[in-house]
Amino acid sequence: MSSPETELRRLARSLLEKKAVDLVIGYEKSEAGVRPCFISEPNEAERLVWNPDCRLSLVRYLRGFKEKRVGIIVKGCDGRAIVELIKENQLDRRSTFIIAVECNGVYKPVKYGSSKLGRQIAEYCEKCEVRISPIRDHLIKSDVKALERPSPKNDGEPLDWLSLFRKCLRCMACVRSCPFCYCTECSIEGFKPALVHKLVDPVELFTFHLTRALHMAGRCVECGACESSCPVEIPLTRLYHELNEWFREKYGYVPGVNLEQAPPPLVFKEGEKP
Amino acid sequence: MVVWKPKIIAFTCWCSSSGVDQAGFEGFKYPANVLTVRVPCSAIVNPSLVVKALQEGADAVLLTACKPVELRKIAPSRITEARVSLLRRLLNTVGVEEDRVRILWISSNEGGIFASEVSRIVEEVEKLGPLNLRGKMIEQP
Amino acid sequence: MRRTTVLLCTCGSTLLDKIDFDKVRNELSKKPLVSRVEVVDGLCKSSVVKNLSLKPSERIIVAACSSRFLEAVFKSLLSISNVEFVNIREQCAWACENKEDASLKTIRLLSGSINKVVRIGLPKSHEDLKIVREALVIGGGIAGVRCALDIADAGYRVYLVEKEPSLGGVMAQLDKTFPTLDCSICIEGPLLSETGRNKNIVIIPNSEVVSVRGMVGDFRVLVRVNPAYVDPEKCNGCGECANVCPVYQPNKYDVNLKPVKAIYCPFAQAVPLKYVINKDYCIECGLCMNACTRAAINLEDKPKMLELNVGAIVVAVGSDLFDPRLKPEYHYGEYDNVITNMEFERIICASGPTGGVLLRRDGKPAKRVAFIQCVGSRESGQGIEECSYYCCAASMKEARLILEHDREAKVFIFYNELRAFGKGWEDLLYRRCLEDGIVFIRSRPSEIKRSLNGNLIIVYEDTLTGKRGELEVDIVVLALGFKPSEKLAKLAAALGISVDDKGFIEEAHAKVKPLETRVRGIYVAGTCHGPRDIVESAVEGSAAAALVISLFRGESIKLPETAKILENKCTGCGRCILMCQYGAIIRDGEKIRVLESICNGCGACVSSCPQEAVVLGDWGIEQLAPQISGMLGD
Repeated sequence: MSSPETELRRLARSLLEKKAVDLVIGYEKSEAGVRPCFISEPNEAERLVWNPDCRLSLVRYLRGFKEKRVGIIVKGCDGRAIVELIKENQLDRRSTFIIAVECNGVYKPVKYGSSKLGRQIAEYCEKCEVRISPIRDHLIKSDVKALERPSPKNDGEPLDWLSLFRKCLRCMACVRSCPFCYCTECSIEGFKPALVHKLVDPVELFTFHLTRALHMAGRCVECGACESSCPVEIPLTRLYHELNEWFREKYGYVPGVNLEQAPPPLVFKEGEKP
Repeated sequence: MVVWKPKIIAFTCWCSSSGVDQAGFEGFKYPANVLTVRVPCSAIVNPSLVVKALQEGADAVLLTACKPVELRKIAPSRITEARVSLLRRLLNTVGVEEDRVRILWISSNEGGIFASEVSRIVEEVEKLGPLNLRGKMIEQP
Repeated sequence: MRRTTVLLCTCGSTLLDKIDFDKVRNELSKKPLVSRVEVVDGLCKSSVVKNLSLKPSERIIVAACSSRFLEAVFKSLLSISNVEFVNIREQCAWACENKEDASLKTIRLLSGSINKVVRIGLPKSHEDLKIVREALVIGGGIAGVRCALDIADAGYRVYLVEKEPSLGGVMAQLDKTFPTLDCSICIEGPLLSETGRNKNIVIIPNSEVVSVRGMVGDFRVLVRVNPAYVDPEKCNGCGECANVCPVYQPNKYDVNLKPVKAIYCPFAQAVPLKYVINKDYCIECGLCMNACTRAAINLEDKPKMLELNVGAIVVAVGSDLFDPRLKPEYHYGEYDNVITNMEFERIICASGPTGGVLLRRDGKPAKRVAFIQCVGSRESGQGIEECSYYCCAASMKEARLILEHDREAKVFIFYNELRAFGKGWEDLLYRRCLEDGIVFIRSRPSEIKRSLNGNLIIVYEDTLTGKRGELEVDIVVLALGFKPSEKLAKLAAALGISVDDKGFIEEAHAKVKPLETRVRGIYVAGTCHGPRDIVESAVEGSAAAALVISLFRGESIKLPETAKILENKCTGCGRCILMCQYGAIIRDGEKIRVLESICNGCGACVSSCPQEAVVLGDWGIEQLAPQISGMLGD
């Protein structure tokens, strides 16, 4: 049996040769590990890589190719993002060829100056229950056992979120990397100065992060793109996970696992306790 | 020494706002730091506004709304109810006491209930103490 | 820069000792946004407001009482949109313990409004609407006919759409009406002919509403006219065609008890009095075409689609009755002599199948008759749970009709509670029933059995005495409860109105808007929104007509503030659709659209949109966040 990477390259080449897709979005090697790449020629397929550094979601790029047929490499969480985006009318399933790769978890990013040895699996991957995209056109199975997953531990000590927010630089990396941030005028990026002004008043970071959390609630697929790209390492996925838990408890709704299940209307039926 | 009194923002829908009117009309007194913002329906209040109010110095935020049973099948105030629940979960997570955000069911003729409930809530918020987000967010530890 | 003016009302001298107006004025004057502060007495008086010489370009904050008159005073004097009202009386002065508190609270409240007022005055979401002063009434029963007549008499054109070949509805099928036992068609007939004669009424028989677009004042209604195979323009109702027609079919009007020809007119008083062909039975022999001297018959007739442009719609389609086959213990359809009350009405009617003589199906006269009440009503599981309202009085009336025909007959009524409380129902119905010797038995019979001689045996337990019994009778009449008609849900969906959990049309408010639906400009009358009798249906027909007329008398329609989608911002994610409990937001191709006639202006959509691509009035983050900041500022 060939490795997933070989299979991936073969599939991409064949899709492009048959003109089944106009381009394939995947990962290629870079100095820092991997980076996204966009392949439209069959012989470029050799550039594709697949390893536990492929952590950033590629789903975000789909919106840039609305007129094209696109093949995309997705992990479980990325597939869930696609499901949720289809429900939100942002993607056309028919023009997307979903190459699902079984995911065993991804590594935490290597920060500048730190060692590449002893890589750790990301915290959000420990909680992950969906390793294969629930929506797919082709499945590539993993050839290795899952990365050493520490048994899902409790969230441990509650975090001091206010101090974490205070570290925020408002670089907007979380928004830029998120598959769900597609607003034309982002409320927390200065388009609503009455809510969050561009001039930095540190206390506004509270509204900044809570507003983003409210916008992600019940949608976030916990792919970790925001916190992996956060330069000050705010574990945002954990905050959004907490709100997703609320949706799971109240409505039994888990974003992205079922294309048929509509997002719950945010109401309590008679007799339900808030 | 200035005695600290909690500042409270109360978003009142048109129906419950008329209940608040009734409280004054009938001479019920409640703390002067309860400031009302009249909106057409509680469901129009963006949850971010509640967060913003806390950021701007409110020690608590109330949303007064119509009882869903009085609205029969279609009751936008149920949305408010769910949002408040979600907000409380969020505040709890980030370390702000969830009791600082509440929903109060007030009909047009329940001025007395508004006055007594609000007075009770003010007492409870007094026990929680000042929220002082600005202090918490800006002061270095 | 536009001026911002703060007007403080002292409310006579009421607020003078509650609020320190000098302090408030001083504090507010310091604010850079404020250009003038006026303390006046009596902002609720037009004369006082006029003297202030306010300009439409000014931003105004009115700090006064809670009176809703204030808004009218300001809106009528100035076409200003930038007005904010602050209640400093009930919500401030009267609720505070002392003058100092009240003054501080006034300053806080006003600081908020000053911040807000500079951000309001967005263009309103819509213009006032024009009105097409023509109405559509769906359903030609008593409610629909009464309604159409009243609207027409006020001078407006009415389209009256009826699915059957003739107007009349259920009332036309009844023999007599309670409590006075006057002939039903004798009182409805004149109304029907009046409707037929009325120049303002266009009757469209054999037709149904397919779809509705548009909104109050300007609906576009698509109506399907089913083929009658007889040109109504040419037919004069002479009946020569039916004379030669060789095929018989059961007549729906006579509850299928009496046959008519395949080319037929349902009853003598029909309006319009035009013949139609039932193609299910017609053998296309062409005899009628030869017989018709006016060449009115066209066997190739096809369905036609008609588009109507109307300003208001009244739904008066009535409802069905419970299907007694669903209660196998009564053996309806199996035992010949178990009949429904509608069948009874036709049988006892002089123009009915037996010429008004109550006969068993084997031809013997019926001497002993029993009525069973609440068949399909007042029980869970089958039919509807609530009381069908008409049937106690109807059965007492029918019982008395039997005795009018035959003094020797014995009549029994099995009831649960006698719920007959209308005008004249006590003296003209109930007491006379007792005097006539009609026997009332409080029971819901468990079964009807049939003896060897064909008689029916009712098995029951008298719930007043607890005794069980069996009663032998010739005929059992089942008093059927109402049931929403099968097509009602489809019609409701086409109209955009909602149905309740029982399947009847849902009112905008059961108590204070009992004839309005959730769509403005669509009204409801008669039994399609719940059980009713003739009187109430007629009352509702007139009342719905009054609503239509008052809509038409207005110059334009002012809708309440509704949500508006900012198309350049909208990403089409659909969260607003999920949130709207009124179903007023829909996906229309790639776009999201607000149905203004349904939107109630609650704003759940506004707060659900992450970038506020939906706006409604002055209640967005851009307005409210500064208001809050202003209130909380030092």
